[in-house]
Amino acid sequence: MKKQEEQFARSLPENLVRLKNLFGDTMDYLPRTFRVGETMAALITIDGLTNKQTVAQSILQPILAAPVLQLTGQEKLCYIRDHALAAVEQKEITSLQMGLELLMAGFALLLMDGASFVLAFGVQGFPLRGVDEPSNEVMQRGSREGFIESLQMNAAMIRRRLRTPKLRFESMTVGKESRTQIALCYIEGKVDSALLQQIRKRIEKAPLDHTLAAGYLTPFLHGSGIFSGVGLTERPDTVCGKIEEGRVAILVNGTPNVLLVPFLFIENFQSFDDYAIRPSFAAFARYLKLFSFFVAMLAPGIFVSVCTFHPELFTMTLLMKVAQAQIQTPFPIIAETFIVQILYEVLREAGLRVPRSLSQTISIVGALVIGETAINAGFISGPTLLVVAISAVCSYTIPSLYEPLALLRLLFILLGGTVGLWGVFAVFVVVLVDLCGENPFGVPLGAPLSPFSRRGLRDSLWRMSWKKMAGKPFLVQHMPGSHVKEHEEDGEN
Amino acid sequence: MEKTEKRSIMVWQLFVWLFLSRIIILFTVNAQTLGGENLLVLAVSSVLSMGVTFLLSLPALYLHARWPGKTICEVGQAAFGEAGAKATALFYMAFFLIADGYYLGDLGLFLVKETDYGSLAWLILALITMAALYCWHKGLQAMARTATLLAAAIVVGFVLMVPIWIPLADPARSLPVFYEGIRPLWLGTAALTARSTRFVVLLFLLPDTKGRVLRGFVWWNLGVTAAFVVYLLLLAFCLGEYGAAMSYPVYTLLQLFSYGPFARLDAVFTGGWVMVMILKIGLDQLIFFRCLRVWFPAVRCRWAVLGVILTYGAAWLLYQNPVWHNQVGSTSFFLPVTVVALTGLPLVLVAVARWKERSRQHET
Repeated sequence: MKKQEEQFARSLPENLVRLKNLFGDTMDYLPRTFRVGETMAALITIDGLTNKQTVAQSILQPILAAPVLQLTGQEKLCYIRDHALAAVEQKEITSLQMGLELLMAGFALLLMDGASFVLAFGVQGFPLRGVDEPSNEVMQRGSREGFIESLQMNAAMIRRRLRTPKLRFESMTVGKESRTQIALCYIEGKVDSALLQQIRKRIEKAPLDHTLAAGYLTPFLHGSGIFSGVGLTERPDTVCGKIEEGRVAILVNGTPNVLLVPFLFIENFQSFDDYAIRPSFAAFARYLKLFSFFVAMLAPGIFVSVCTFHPELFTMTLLMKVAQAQIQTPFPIIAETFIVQILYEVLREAGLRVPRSLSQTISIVGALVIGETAINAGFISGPTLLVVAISAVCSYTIPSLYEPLALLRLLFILLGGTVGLWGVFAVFVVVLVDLCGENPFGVPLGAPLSPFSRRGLRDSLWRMSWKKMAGKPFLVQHMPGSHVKEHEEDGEN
Repeated sequence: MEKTEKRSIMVWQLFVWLFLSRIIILFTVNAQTLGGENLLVLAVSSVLSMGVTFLLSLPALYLHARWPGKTICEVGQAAFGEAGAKATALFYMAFFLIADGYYLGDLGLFLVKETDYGSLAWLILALITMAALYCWHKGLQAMARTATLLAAAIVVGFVLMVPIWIPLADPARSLPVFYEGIRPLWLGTAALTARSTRFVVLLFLLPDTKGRVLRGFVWWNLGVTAAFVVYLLLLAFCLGEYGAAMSYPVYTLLQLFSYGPFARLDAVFTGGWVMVMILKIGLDQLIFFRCLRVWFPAVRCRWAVLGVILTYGAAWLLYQNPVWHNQVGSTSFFLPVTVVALTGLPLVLVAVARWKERSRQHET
């Protein structure tokens, strides 16, 4: 049975005491009491979340000037709602919980002694980062706008691009403590209702105390596996494109990242630029990325396994070069490659975390001092460094897959050096099976390649011209092997 | 996992998967195991074996036609009650354990005999069984899709390699087909039929498929036989008697392969062998677990590890003891076991279940 929500009392002192008890002595809780005629009133705000000038000029001044001397508290509040502040964004609330949520979202609460409800005024005035180009998804020919931390602004950026009344933003709250506002964004009629229901259920059931980033929700939306079935973007145009295909975007207040569900593996190789350039080059770029993915994942592992177990696979010239380089280093090739790989990851992590002014120093130290000196000193062989560097560069072409790639690379190195190509192939099958699996919503991760769909290929391995794609949407629930509705029947995992 | 198991795959996916599993079994046999030193006669044997296995599979096909949604264990239940279901499940658990143990042990023996890294065989086999467990965890559909991708890659690779081997081929290298008389033909047919363990999978997985079974069955057998005949012809014409004397002739054939920068694809072949073995054992683990559920309906998924441990144990025992391995792999052992599993037991169960069904119909 649903728990009865706590309501505001009619007595102002009682309400103030309850709020005081809830907030304690926190410095940013600002209750301001005053009289409206003979009736006591209070305006509650949280310091830093409201615009003080707006509060003074647009809220307090009209209230104090209102001709309400002869009325009761309830009538005064009704007059303020309907006449004095009719032009201000306002909400009439009775629930204490709702009042607290609005208060902490930057609303000002007006409490009047003897009134049965409370008025909340939208006077938000906290500093926001300006709309900027997303640093993680740089495009050549698309819009330069990226999401920011405000949910409302992000929603507006999507609405500006999709001016259809079918666009929906469904508000939800997650996090028992943080009470973070999120919004499910989709296009009515394009999204599968069962999919939407599944997403709602999973988010509602997420036992989170705090939701400080979009990534907090990801584990509740994708099942077990190496590759994620949840996409992440900072671009409003990407979100628009995805929800047009029947996906659901999840906007989380306080983060510029938007989650996209369900997300196919092939989408990691797509970028918004693909749709703004010629299809032939877009296809070429996708093949490059696909090739880079395999090189980034397998090259170091295969190199180690071939050097250790199957040197006969090298041609004689290549074998001599590798052997010559290898003979001068003190470590076995598996240890050497593993160390170089770890060193590279350390440098990358350092480059990400240090202040920008130092990142160039890190690059110089990493590339020149460590790299060149290690080779000159004979600690590391040139071919090993080359293979690791090539795989690192390749992994940057598909940044969304960096995390699984980094770990798989290490696993392939370890197994390639321990049991040779047999180990590499064994893990490769595991990767393939994982790719051929499906996300918890019943959409195959590997579609439209596995299971195969010729129609689905039009925007996967190659990108067809807009002449052919326009007006013929291919929704994600129509992917081969997709059975979202069955999941609904089966219930949760 | 349970949810994944409920879903079905297409008939062609199952047969592509079985094509892959059977091809890898057939490509790793040698002339001695198949009873003779003439590779060409084995090509004829494979065609004969195709006919024999079709006849042997009739009970399985009838079972599916009569009760499309029932596995052999459920038919066992219909015929002899719960005890019948449990006994059937136990038999097939043992069957798949022995078959997988043997084929995995074969890979272990190959690593010991043919490569310099035999000391790592235990680790490679452990890795294969663990990977198979992960495949089982991802479910029937994921495995079937992976098998399709792998089959496409292997078939394309094979088709591209054949033109490179053809210039090396010389029919004069091989013996005439019936040089050693007619006996090798029968021995080869029996040996190939004994290795038709994959047909038994049909008794369990046909209820999970959608599509036309008979057409898929025919194409599967034609495909496997055609690929095997091409392979035997290549072996016979490229390697001649030398190939017939090899324990792993395909490995030798691949060692001869050379085209531009590509050479010595033997290691790549072993990789392919490993990949197919993983999917094959993954599929058998799925059946093993279903049989386990006949005994313990509430058994939790984590107990699937039991099947993997037992398979690994069997493989380890067999590759450590080549004499046992030979005995288990001999036609005199494998043929009766396969015939009972594929034909004997299903025939009895189908007959009794049908008789009981008719009796009930008469009563009503």
